Amino acid sequence: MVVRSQGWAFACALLLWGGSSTCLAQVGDGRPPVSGGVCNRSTSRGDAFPIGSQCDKERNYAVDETGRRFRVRFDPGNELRLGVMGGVWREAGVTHSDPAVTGGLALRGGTRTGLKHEDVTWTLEHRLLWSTVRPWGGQVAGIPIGETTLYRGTYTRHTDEPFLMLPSNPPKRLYFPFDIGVEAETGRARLQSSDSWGGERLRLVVARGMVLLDPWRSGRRGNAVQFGIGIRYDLELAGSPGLDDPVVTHRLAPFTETTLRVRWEDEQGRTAVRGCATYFPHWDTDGEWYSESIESRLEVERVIIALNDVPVSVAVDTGFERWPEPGSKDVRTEVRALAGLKVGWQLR
Amino acid sequence: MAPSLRRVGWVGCLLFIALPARAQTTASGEPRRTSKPRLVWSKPIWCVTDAKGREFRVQDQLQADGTHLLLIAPNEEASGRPLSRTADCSRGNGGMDAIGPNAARSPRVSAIAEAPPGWYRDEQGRVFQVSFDLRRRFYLGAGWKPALGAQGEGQAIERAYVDMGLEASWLRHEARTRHTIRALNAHATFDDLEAEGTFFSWEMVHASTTPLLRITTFFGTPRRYDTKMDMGFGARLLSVHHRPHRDDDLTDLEIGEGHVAWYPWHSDDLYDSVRITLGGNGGATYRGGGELRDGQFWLGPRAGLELFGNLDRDGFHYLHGSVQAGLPVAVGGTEAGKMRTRARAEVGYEVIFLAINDQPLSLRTTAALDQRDDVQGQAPELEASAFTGLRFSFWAPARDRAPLTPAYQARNANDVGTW
Repeated sequence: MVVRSQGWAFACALLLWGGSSTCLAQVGDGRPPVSGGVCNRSTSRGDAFPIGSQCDKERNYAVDETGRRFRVRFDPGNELRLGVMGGVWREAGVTHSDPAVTGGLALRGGTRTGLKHEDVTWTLEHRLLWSTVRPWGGQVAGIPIGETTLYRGTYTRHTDEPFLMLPSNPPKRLYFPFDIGVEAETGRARLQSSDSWGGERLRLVVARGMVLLDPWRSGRRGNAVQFGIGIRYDLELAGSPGLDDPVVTHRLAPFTETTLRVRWEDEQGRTAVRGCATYFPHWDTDGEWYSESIESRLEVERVIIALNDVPVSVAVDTGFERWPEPGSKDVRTEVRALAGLKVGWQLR
Repeated sequence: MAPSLRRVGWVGCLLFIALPARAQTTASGEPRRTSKPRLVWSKPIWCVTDAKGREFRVQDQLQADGTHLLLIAPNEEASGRPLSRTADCSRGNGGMDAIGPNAARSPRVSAIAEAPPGWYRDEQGRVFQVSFDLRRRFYLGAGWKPALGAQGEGQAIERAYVDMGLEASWLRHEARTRHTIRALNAHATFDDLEAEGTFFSWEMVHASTTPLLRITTFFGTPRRYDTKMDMGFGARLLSVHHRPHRDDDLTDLEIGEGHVAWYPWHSDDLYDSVRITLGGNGGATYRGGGELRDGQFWLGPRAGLELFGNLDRDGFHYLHGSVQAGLPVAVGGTEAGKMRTRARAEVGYEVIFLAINDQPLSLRTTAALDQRDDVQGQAPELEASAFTGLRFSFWAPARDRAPLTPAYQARNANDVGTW
């Protein structure tokens, strides 16, 4: 019995050392105890534990006064999401108010190498089938209008002491005040009906690639201020009626696409703000140079409740775009302001 | 017999039934007291023979002051017949000494022999059942069931009613479930014939040990709220309703029904409950009288709110109520795709007022409102009906009120242990 008591005392000491507020062997209603404890130590950095490690997972949970365990920390970069949003869309001077269904798969992982100040952290973020569909906004060939991105990946590299090496003799090491990264995207399709545009359209971002520089260098997942410059190739199909015999326009931005992106997530992953503005002057098929093409977006999400540890968020999505008319110098403007709810099934 | 005399007869019968029912309310609702102490069923009992060869049942009762008292009851009824429904007793060769070293010197008190839970033994030693479970029985019933349309049309006041059915319900402690089956439930009115019957139905409710839905809020400090959402399932097979709403040309056949049920509340033994059901059923409607021509198949969703409760300790008073609605849609036939509406609200009460050979006789009264929009002719779409009558139940064992064993033993969250 003495040995057993000492064992419990040791276990409790471990839990207390870990910052846990309780060392009950049962929860209030008598159910088996929760695990964890030593992983609950507060850390100065959000990624103190390897991403996806056991301790990283344990930190996602809290235990209340009665011993019940529940998730309080989420990862909006690792979830399967589904949402419903409503609001207004203003396209080419016409206002619509049909709701939209949003969804997609977000994956975020990373690797960590090196020692001490030479730590290098790569964060790899992927988005698959990221979609906003407007089932009641019109159809083209039986397909509801909206936007879907087949794949977008953002890969960023963070180190505590970034530097440039000049290959002089002897070589010189210079401080470099940016985290660096690259972004790749393919298969972003946007389908538009004739309700607003006088004809059906399919705008397809075939491929785009971009180099990113981050002067904030937060080193925390989901937090960045990034400047980017890159290349982009778009294809645009316009027809009326239908897209069976469309007017095809190719658009190429030869390292003239520039982006400013701001992203912020709180430590618990309950609040996320993402803003992005892209300016991409480009040539089209006819050799015309367009310099008024803009895409911008601001998204805010806040988890308000969780059902069985699945977070439900309030989400706001606003956007502004300017886009040239095929075969003319005219520019059309699109604005949207949406708000709704989103469910994010956590993958980690 | 003139109609007015019949009504007087019915009222007289009701009074005759209601008065004894009132009388039994006090009998079963209070702890039973007698002048003599009783042997306790669950404690050790000895069978001891005295010097004259007479056998007694003896139980050693420990008093509050630490002394012992021997309760002694004859092992026969006053008439001399052997006692029935007694617990097993231990027999020793040493008389009172077999009970304990000081038994022969302990004070002795005349007592009444033990009776099983749910049974009662009178001072003459006769035993009879005083607790009944009306969810475990085969019943036969008869009564009076008037019906009329909501606008007062189509009155059918002088209708006799007979019914029968089998019901069984049992609790599985290890699985934390209660199953209830019903079979061959049927009733008919005459001479204005309306008949309804169900071949088989099954209900299951599960008392979950973990909340089905946990809600965490993130307004300020995160907090967790557990919802109690015990769920169940049910199914019904082959139900027939002939002449609903007294529509001469209509026979309704429900081939099958299935549903899930949410129990916002249930008692600790899953016996009494309030539940919300959601499911669907399918069947066929026949028109054409006895030849059953023009079968029209249908499928549709159903939903309902039901409550059932045993109001007293010994299973004498039962209350039930339900509101149900369905939207059958015709599949095939001349009305393919047409949606119909059916709805029913019912409330009822049943009370046991007499037992014959330990088989209870109960008074049952119900009131119902039934709506269906596929009747024709003079038959009302909305029909009100009432029933009052008697049921004689076979089997109906003693009501077992043992609750489910708690899955976990509750513990104070502020417990720091004893070291």
